[in-house]
Amino acid sequence: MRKKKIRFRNIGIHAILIFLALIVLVPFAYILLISFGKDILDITGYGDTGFSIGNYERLFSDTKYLYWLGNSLIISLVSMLISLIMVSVASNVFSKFKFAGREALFQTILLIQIFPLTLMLVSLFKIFAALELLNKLLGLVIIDSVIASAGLILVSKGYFDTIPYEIDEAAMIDGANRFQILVHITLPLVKPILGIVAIQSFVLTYNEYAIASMLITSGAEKMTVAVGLQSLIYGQFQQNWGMYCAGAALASLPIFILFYSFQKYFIGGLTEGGVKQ
Amino acid sequence: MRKKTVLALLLISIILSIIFSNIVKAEQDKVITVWGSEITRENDVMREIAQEFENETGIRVSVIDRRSLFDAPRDLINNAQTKEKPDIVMIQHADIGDLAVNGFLLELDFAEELKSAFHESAFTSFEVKDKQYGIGYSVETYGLVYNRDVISSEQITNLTWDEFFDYAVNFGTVIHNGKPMKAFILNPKNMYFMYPIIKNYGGYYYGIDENGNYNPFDVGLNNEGSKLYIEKIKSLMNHGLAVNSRNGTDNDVSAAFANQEAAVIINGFWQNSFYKQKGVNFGFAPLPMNNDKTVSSPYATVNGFVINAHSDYPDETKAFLEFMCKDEYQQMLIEAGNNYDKKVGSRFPVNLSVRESEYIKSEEMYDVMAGICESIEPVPNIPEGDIWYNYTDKAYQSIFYGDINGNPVNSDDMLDELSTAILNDVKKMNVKIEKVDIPFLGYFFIGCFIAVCLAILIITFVRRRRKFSISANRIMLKATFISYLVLLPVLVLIGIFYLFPIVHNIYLSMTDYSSLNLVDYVFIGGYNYKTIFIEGLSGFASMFAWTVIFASSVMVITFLTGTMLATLLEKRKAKVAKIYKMIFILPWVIPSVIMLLTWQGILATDGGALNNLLNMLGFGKVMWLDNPYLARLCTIFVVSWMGTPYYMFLALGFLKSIPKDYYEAAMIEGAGKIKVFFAITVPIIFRALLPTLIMGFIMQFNNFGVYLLTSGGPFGSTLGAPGATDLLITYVYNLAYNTKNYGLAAAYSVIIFLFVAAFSLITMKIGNSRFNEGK
Repeated sequence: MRKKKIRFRNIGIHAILIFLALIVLVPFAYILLISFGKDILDITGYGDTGFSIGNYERLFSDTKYLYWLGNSLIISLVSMLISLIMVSVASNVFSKFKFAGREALFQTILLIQIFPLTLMLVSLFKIFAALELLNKLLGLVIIDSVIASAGLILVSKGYFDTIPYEIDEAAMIDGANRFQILVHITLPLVKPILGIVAIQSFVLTYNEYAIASMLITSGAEKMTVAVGLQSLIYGQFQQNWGMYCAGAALASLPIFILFYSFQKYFIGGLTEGGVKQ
Repeated sequence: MRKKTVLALLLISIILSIIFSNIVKAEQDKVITVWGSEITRENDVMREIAQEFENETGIRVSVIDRRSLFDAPRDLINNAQTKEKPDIVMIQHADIGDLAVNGFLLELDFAEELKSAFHESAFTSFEVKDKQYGIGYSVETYGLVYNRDVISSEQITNLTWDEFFDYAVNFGTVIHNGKPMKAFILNPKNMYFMYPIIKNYGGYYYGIDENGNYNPFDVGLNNEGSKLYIEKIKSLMNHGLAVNSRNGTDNDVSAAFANQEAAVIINGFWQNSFYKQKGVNFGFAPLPMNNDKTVSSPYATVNGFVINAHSDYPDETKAFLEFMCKDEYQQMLIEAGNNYDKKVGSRFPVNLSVRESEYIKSEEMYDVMAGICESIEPVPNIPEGDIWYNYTDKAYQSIFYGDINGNPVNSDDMLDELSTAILNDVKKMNVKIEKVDIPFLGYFFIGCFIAVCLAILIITFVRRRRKFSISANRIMLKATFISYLVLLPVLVLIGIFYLFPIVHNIYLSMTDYSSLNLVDYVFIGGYNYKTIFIEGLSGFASMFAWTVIFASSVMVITFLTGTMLATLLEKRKAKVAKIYKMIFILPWVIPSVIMLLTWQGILATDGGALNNLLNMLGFGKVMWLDNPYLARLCTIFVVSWMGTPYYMFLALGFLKSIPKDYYEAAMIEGAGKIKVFFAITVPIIFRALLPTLIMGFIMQFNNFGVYLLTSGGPFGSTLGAPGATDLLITYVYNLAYNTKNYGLAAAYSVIIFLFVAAFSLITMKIGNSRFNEGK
């Protein structure tokens, strides 16, 4: 009797999950179809042109797609590493150190992010021109890792707070310094949030458009994927949706690979046993 | 200790050597930089020409592939004086108004000999206030596209517009390839394509003053001629010769032609490949003549070259520009721009010898278009030139298709409203604002203000310290010092890239920074703020309410659904959960632009996927994005759809930090799963995520992406009023940008910033006090 009830409940849960998965999958499947030339709904306004891999071929032959992908991967990976370091150090300080102005500083970091980025572009450009970082991937790495870190400090500080301070104290008695505690004790305990920080900072950088399109002006080889793809649909009359969708579908592959390799951080890394409360 | 000193010295010497190596860099050779177009072949030809130029003069020219000509004005303004500055820029003539007024473009003077080699539109289009700023190279415009299987070109040439419309009406509906076919179909909302017809009946956009310049204070869209145009189109609509859906676009017109449902349309070369794909045998013909038998001129954009006024080598740059204007090179460029023998581009020459060349003459379509290009009307290139984009579409939509509920709208009133709206914007753009000198006293007050703030900070700091003993203070001081030292890099970076732009924006909001004053903007005090408070915002209350409802419901939905999904997934078997996670990650990782546009395609009232599905099941049309209430619901749904995965993965992470005994205790007390979810899981994760959620709320408050889904609509019948899904920030942003008044936009954003900041601070205070009580 009880078994039956559980099985019934399981089916119910799976029904919900499958329904939600469909809502997610249908638009994505549609993008894939467009990339193969099957635009059943005529979103692109060019109609259904029959199944072909022409869009993918032209993506590689007519555009600098591989350059775009390479640039995006480089800046996304580097700024992912930088933001991982900045976020874990800053969250650790905010969470473990009791210092004057801690709350105020933390709130300031949140508040300054209220200002819409769209309106900051003009000023940002002036900074980059002054620092001579125009047309350099380094410039994008810096700004993207700052943006990602500023947002993600807020997220990860909350997770660092869930690690009991007793662990630190115990380690300190054993003679470990703050840095050792962070690297050897705290970081392994906060793996799940580090996984999220990594993916979110990667995705933010990877899909960032406004700043990249403004800073990179010297040629197609230097563009990122987001900017390059946008140029395919960035016309008043000629919009190449098929190629855009093909490019977007291909560009999402690295994120899947990254996500897949971070899976174990989401699943494993249980904090149980670290300390009994 | 010694090791550290050695290390520090080493570091300093490295830094110094880097700085010096930059200063002592050898003087660079002369290089002229050219920003080309997005067509690589064309740029390659330009490189060949550059090589020839280098061989002759020894001056190097480097040509840069660009993303789009649309970026050229913004990027030129940004880069004009940086190291990355271009010398020659390929640009659309309509964009040069702002640049010329602000002194970004070098004034040019061409020799008569060169002038005689080009059609006069190459020069008139690049003229602003009687000064020459560039030279045209190719034209983009439109003509009649006709289906050769149904109509011969003789039937539609040498007709006047009235005769042509009569012909189209008398044509009725014929059966072609088993499908009904009309003679003609047009999209009456698009003024770009309709302009020659409006002009034929006597309407116009901006009048021309006695010097031959555009006069933006003379708007001719509500005169008798414009009213005649409205009547004519309305009668054509009764014969089914216009797009029949309120939301129809030029894509629908093209599709009708491609599917052989219309024999003639007005279009350029932009969709030729689509027609070919569909197997249409088509050709181009000139537009019908005006009723007084003069040639009807289509609106056109001229692509050409301008020179950066801040160029280091203006003379050499001019020399290269003139070099490039030689007939043979123009020929090479045009051929490359149209992809040589494939002839698929839409680069129609303004160079007379290219016009007469075999390349153009041998292909009938190019020959016809090049002929049309001899009598074009370039769209106004004055800074006020693009105001019509903001209003005409909506005004004509109401006139021809009624308001949002389908009720007819008085067309005369609407035309008056249209021209008033345009005139108002023109006036706003040309307002001269008095410069305000900051008096010495002002600086004194600012200084006092900062001093008082510092004093308050120090006093509170000292007071707080008094509470503790001296040794505790010392520990605290040490911790503070170390903390700030460790945080220094992060804080400096955030300070540079967040704080400076905000302070700079506050400054800009007190200047007259606008498209007419991009360089010489001056301090005008609180003028912009005064404007905002005097003008107020029409529909502010409802728009504000909608913004708050939108942002908070998106946050509630994404947070709850995300947490629920996470709890459901956590209990699945690892392998099953993996598959689900891979699926649910999709909305997070795919660029939001494409997701929003896909959803728009799915939810569209006419031909959207959802309505097609409902239709198959026997239901009627649902106006998903065209009914104000449904549109709002759909917006919330789509944005939540995109945001949920992020919160799901966050919750997945935080679920692991919830001690198991909490659940056990609740289970022992006999709480059900749903109760446990709401009583334990949600509150714990909510507390941990509070800053993130506030951040998310702010992000949604400032969400510019909604525009891609609904463009702020559906709109009421008042021009310029906010649409049903207009968010506060997007609306005021566009309001200020309609008149290109960036200072005003900054002022709006500062006000909203202060408001949202206050809101977030209060929420955090409440959240924190609750949290502490809970402890």
